[in-house]
Amino acid sequence: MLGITKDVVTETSKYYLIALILLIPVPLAGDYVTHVTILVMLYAVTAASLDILVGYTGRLSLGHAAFFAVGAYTSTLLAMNWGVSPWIGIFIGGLMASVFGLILGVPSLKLRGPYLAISTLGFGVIVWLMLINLDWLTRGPLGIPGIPPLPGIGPIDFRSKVAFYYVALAFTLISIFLLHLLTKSRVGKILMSIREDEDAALSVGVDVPLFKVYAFLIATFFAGISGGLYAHYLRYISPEISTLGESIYILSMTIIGGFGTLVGPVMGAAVLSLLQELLRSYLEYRYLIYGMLIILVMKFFPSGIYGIVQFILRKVRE
Amino acid sequence: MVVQPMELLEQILFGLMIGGIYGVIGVGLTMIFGVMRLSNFAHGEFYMLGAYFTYTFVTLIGGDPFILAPLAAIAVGAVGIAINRLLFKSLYEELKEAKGAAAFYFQDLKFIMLTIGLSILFVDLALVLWGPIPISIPSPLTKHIVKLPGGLSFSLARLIAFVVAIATLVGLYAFLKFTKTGRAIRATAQNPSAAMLVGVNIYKIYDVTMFLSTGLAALAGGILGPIYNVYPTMGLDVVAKAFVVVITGGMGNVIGSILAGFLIGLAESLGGLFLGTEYKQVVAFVIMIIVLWVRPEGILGGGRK
Repeated sequence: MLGITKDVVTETSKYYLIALILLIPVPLAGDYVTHVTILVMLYAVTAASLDILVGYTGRLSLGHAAFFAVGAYTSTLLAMNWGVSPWIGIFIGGLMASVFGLILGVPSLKLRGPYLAISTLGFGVIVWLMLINLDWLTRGPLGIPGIPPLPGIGPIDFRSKVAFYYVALAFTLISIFLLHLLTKSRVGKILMSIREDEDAALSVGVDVPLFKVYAFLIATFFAGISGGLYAHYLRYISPEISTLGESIYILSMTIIGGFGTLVGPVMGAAVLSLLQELLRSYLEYRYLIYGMLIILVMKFFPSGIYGIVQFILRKVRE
Repeated sequence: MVVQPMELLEQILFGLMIGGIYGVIGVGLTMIFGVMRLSNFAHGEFYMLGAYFTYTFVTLIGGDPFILAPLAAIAVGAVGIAINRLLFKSLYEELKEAKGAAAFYFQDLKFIMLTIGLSILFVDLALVLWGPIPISIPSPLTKHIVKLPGGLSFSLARLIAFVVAIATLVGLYAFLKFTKTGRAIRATAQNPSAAMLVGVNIYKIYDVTMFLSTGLAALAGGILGPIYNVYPTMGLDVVAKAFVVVITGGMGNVIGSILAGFLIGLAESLGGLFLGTEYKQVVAFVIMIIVLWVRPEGILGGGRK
C-alpha cells in the first residue's frame, strides 16, 4: 500500500530485535530506572514524530510540546468528565492533536524558515494561554491531579511501573516502526523531496501543500498519543507541559540526536534525559551545560549523536 | 464592559510608550536578519543582560540607572561582537558556499538552534550569577510622578524611557542614512558580494551590526529595568514579541519594525483593556497571523533597509 519493499522490513528488524533484547529486562534494575526509562520512551516518540516535520519535511517547529499537551489534556478530560476509557481516550487525544496540527499546518503552508519557526512558537504560546485561562475546563495553572490510570486488563494492573513499562515499550517500538515505514515509503520520499527543494518538487507535479499537511497530521498524532500516555502514567498534568521551554527541549532531542534519522531523536531523548538525571545535584548548572551542548553539536557535529556514533563505528571498522 | 475615556487615553499613552521600546528591540533583530540572514533567537537574552548589567553597574559604581544603561549597552554590545566572532563567523563562509533550498534550510536550522542554545546558556548564566529572584533597579525617577491635566499620571521613568527610545530610533535612522558605515551596512544587506567588490569589509560590518543590534536590545533592558522587574527569563517573554514586531514590519525593514513596534504596543495595551489582561499576549500573535495572511512581506514590504 505504501510501496514498502520487503527488505526494508527485514533490514531494520534486526535493530528492533537488539532494542527489544536490551529494553525488556530494564524493570529488573528497580523502580527508579524503570521510571526514567518510561519517560525517555515517551519523549523519544515525541522527538521522533517531530523529526518527521523537521528532519524529513524540512518544517521547523518550535511548538511541538503544544500537541503533546493537547493529547494529554484531551484524554484526561474525557476520562475524568465522561468516564471514557483511557485506552480510547488516548487515541482520541492523538486525533485531537492532529486536528490542532491541521489548525497550525494549513495556515502555515507557505511559511518558511524564521517565519514558520515564529508562527509555531506563537501557536504554542496560544495553546499554553488557553490551558492557563480556560480554568473551568483545565483548572488553569493548578493542573489536574488524580488522573485515572490505564484500566487493568485481567490480572495486569497498569498502576505498577513494571506493567506500564511494557505498555510504553510496545508503544515506542510500534510508533518508531510505523514512522520508519513511513519514511521508507513513497510518502517519505516525497516529504524528503520537499525538504531538498520545494520548488523542484512542485515543478514535477508533487502536491506539496497536501504532503506538508500530511506530515503535520502524522507528527502531531504521535505527539498527542505520547502526551496521553504521559498523563495516565504520571496521573498529574499542568500547562507546564506545553511551554516554549518544553518545545525547545523536545526539539533539542531531535537536533542533538541527529535529525532526519528517526533513530537520532531516540538517542537524543535518552542522552538528554540521562544528562538531566546525572546533573540533578548540579541543578543550577544544568541548562548551562545543556545550552553548551546544543552549541557544540550544531557547530562541530551537525549530524548529531547518531552521526558521531556512525563516525566512530566507521573508524572502528577501518 | 464600559471603558472610561480617560482609561482609554491612559492605555493609548502606555501603548505608545511600550511600543517605542518594542521598536528599539525589534530594530536590532531586524538588522541582524537583514544584514546577516541570521534569525537570532537569543535576542531577548541580550535585553535581559542589558538589564542585569545596568543593575550591576548601579550597585558597583552607584548612580542613576538611566545614565548607566548606555554603558551597559556598550558592554553587552561587546559581548555580541565576541559571540559573532566565536560562533557565527565561520558559518557565514559556509552560507556563501551553500546552494539551493535545502542548503538554506539547514543553514537556517543551524543558526536558529545555535541561538536557541545561546539563549538557554545565557538564561542559566544569569540564574547562576544573579539568582532566580526578580529584582528591581532602584531609581528615584520611578517615584517621581508626572501629572497631566485630566487626572492622568505616570512616573517620570516611563517618560524618560519613551524619550530615550525615540531618540535612539531617530539616531539609528540618521546613522544608517547618512554615515559611511551606515551606507556600508545598507549595501551589505542588499548584496554582500557586491559590497565586498566595492571594498566593504563585510565581516567588519557584521561585527558593527551585531554590536548595534545587541546594544540596542540591552539599552531597552536597561531603561525598562527600573520600571519592571528584572529576572533571568525576562528575555524569553520579549523575544517572541520582538519577532512578531519584525515579521509585522517586514523582515529586514528598519522603518517597518519601528512602526510595527508602536502598532503592537498600542494593540496590546488596548487589547488588554477590551479583552482582559489574560489575553493580552495573544493580541500580538493574532496581528502577526493576519499580517502573514494578508501581507506576508510585512506592512511596508520586506527587504528594504
